[in-house]
Amino acid sequence: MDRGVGPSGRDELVAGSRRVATDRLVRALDRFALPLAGAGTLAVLLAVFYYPVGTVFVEALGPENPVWTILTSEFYMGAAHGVFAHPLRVPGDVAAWLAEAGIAAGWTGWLPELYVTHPGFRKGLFGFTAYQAALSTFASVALGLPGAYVLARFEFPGRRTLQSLTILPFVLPSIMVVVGFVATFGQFGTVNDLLAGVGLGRVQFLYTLEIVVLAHAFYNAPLVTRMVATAWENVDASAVETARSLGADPLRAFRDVVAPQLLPALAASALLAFVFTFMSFPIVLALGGLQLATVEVWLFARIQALDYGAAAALATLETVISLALTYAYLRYEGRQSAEGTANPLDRHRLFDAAGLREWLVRSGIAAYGVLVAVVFVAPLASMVLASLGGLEDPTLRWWRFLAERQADSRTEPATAVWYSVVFGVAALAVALPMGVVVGAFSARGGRGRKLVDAVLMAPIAVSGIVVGFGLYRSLVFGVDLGSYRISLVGPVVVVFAHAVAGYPFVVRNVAPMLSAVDNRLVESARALGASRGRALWDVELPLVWPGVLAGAAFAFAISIGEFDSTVILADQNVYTMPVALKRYLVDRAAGPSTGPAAAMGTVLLAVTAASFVVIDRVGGRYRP
Amino acid sequence: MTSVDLDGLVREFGPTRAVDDVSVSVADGEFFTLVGPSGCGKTTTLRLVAGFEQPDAGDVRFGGESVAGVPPEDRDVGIVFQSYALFPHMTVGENVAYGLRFRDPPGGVSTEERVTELLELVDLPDAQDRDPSELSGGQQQRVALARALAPGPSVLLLDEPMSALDARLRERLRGTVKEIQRELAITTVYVTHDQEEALSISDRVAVMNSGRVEQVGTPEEVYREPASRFVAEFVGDNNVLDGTASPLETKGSSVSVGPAAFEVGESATGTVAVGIRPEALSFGSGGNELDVVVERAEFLGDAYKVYCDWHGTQLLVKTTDAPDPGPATVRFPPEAADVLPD
Repeated sequence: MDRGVGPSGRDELVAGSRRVATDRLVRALDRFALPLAGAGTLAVLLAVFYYPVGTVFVEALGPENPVWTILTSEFYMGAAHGVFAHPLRVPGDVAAWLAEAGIAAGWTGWLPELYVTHPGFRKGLFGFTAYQAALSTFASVALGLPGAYVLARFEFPGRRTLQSLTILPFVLPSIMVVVGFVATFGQFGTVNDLLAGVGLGRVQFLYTLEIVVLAHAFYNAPLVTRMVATAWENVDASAVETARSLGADPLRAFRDVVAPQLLPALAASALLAFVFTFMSFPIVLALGGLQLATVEVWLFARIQALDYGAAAALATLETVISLALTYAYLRYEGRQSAEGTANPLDRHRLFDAAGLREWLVRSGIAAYGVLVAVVFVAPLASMVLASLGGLEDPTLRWWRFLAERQADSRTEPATAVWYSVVFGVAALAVALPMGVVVGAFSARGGRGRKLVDAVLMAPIAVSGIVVGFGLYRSLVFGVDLGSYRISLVGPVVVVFAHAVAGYPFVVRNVAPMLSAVDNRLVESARALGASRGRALWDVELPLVWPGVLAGAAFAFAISIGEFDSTVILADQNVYTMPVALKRYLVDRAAGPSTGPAAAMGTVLLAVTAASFVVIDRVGGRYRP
Repeated sequence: MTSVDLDGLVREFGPTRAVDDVSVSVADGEFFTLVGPSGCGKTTTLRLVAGFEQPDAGDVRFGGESVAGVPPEDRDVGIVFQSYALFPHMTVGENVAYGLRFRDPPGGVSTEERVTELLELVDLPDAQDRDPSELSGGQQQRVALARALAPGPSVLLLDEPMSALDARLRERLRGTVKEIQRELAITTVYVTHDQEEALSISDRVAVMNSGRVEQVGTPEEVYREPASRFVAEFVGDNNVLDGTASPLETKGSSVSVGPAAFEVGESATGTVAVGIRPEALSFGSGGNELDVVVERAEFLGDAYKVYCDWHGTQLLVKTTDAPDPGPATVRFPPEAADVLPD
């Protein structure tokens, strides 16, 4: 009868059931969006971090056991190799060494003095690395601690700016800092130009331990300043006032009340500086050279020499050490209270002194200011100056060199800039969702939170060289999956390596803000029908966008400046600005070529400084 | 529509049982209140109903069907928190409309119409385009209520919604909530630590203590016939005296407390706790007479709270005129004394 109705009715029915099916699919996707994103993040981490680093470990503990070779080698372990090579002889050796050591009393001409004399012992590669890290840590504390005092206890115009500038080193590429130091302390750097100008002759600063330590202090002193100043600002003024009212003089009150609250921050920052300088790579590579090689630089040299067994063993031992140190740091950090006080100590006005004592303090601060200017401002200023050919021979040719097509050069600046930007954007696109998802789990994780934090922190604690090496040996060489062989090309791997290096910074910016969002907001959204992922998107992210933006700026800056893994994964055709810098500086037979490096370094400085402005303006919350 | 049944709910946080074998049944359209001191497990119970917590044992049923494993977004509940929890980056109207992104407005109206309707219901017709931060606490809480009701949930959950408001506002909002609840006839579970609020607003209440339900009943029942010493002391002011009872020949018993004694209407033996409401006590003679010393009186406007000492035990008396401090006689009829179950 109703012929017309049948088909059309069935169509409606089909369309309806199709709509129901799509609805269901959308709902399912919606509900599982966040778990899926979490699983994706984990998969990325497994594929481009845990698996490659794992293959390095496996290789290191393989049949030839290169780890044991290193542990028993005097070259690597110094005097400590005996512990592994012939443990039974250790007590005798130690006793013999102690027997030769002695204490002698002497006379300096003015004062009596005690000497400890002892025979020398070989530090070995690991010993030397720890030794230079200890020296660098000491220099960082010495340079950074007065800064904390000035920032926490004095008020002056520009104090806030100065305080926020202390996060700048985190985004400055270290290879760029190397360029700055070469431009300042190199044979034809500003300092030597000055010395020559006043007739003192040129001095060889580069390739000395001192310059490496100074460059490390450039990096890590702001860290000490920042952490100690924050602790100092958190000292409750009424606690000091209570001590004073109970009879303590100012010095005693400082010793009894303030100092105990500063010490944990000082220790934590020193530990962190030690970790960083133990693993430092470009600074030692370019400013120290192979004669001052640390574990990391030697590891790089082994990789370049295709000695993969020794490289894997070194990578494993270094990773064990850095993980242990990072673990110690995290344990220590966890015990500090991060809460501020509503009643901090009053700041003195810096430019307002009365009495001799206050004048003395302020002249000390002025001297410190000069030192800060030399260490921090001079390298950056010299680099910019060098990119313009210096004062005597101003030229734009290095900048033209960046922009022009360079048919004759093997390392083209334009290519480096292009790949840096492409990798930066691509790495950001991967790191941002990863960081937000991990941040959401970390902020609300409940029971799994500790595990999430540990999984998250691991990429920070493992050096980029090790990650790059692992990626090179696994994903780039190729991985057998059943009967397939998967091999990824360098650029893809570089992007993921950068994302893994950058995403912890997204997490550390986003997670604290997310946990500050009232959980009731999320629960309200969910009771109203939003899935967990939808609530994150609709409610939490709009509220924490400054953290997301700051995290994005961090991740971008990290990618732009990443050197350690990139230098291993880069090849003749694909390289970034930091890799190009290294080639200009280190790989040239005719010595460092400062001009192109300085021009490109200035571009890097501009990009990272812009990132810093974003981080600072939108309230970056990076807490190392 | 929807009844809510809690059946043997248990929720443990580490070694503590926040919710310990809670079983109550909320009838369709009923206004049911969980009341108890802070930390008694009432909010956790509510969160188990909402689906924000999963029970370690027991079951939650909506309309007879278990909702175990159903995530909060699919439970069809509306929730209002003490902290309002309005989305600060959305206007009032956007807040109310949020739930309508996931569910069609009931009654076939458009989202805009539904938002207008709800804002009129909570008496904030002009607030649609304002930011939540521009509103007062009471207004924000009404927006939160409108937001929770907009998708037409089958169960309304209220977690201490008035605790952040001042006393007068609280009383007004109480009336609004009750009125709207009755109008929509929506099954409502209300959580509060304020026993006065619980008595005044609820059809039935469950008094909770240390994760357990001590008594379920109408407000009159829990006030007049407390099922335990805890309920007697928690709900309303009360004098709870510990003594030893011995049955009398005629009816009732004699209870001796320290050196003194009085009669109660019920028969009891051995160690007992007896509750006597302050308003059942008065000054004068006749019935049970207690020789007390009046210590001080607090003026409440319509009455006085008089604190007396009776052989080292404090007695609270509520009367319309306050006696001078010093010795006095307090009386009460034996039937007013309530022997509390253990």
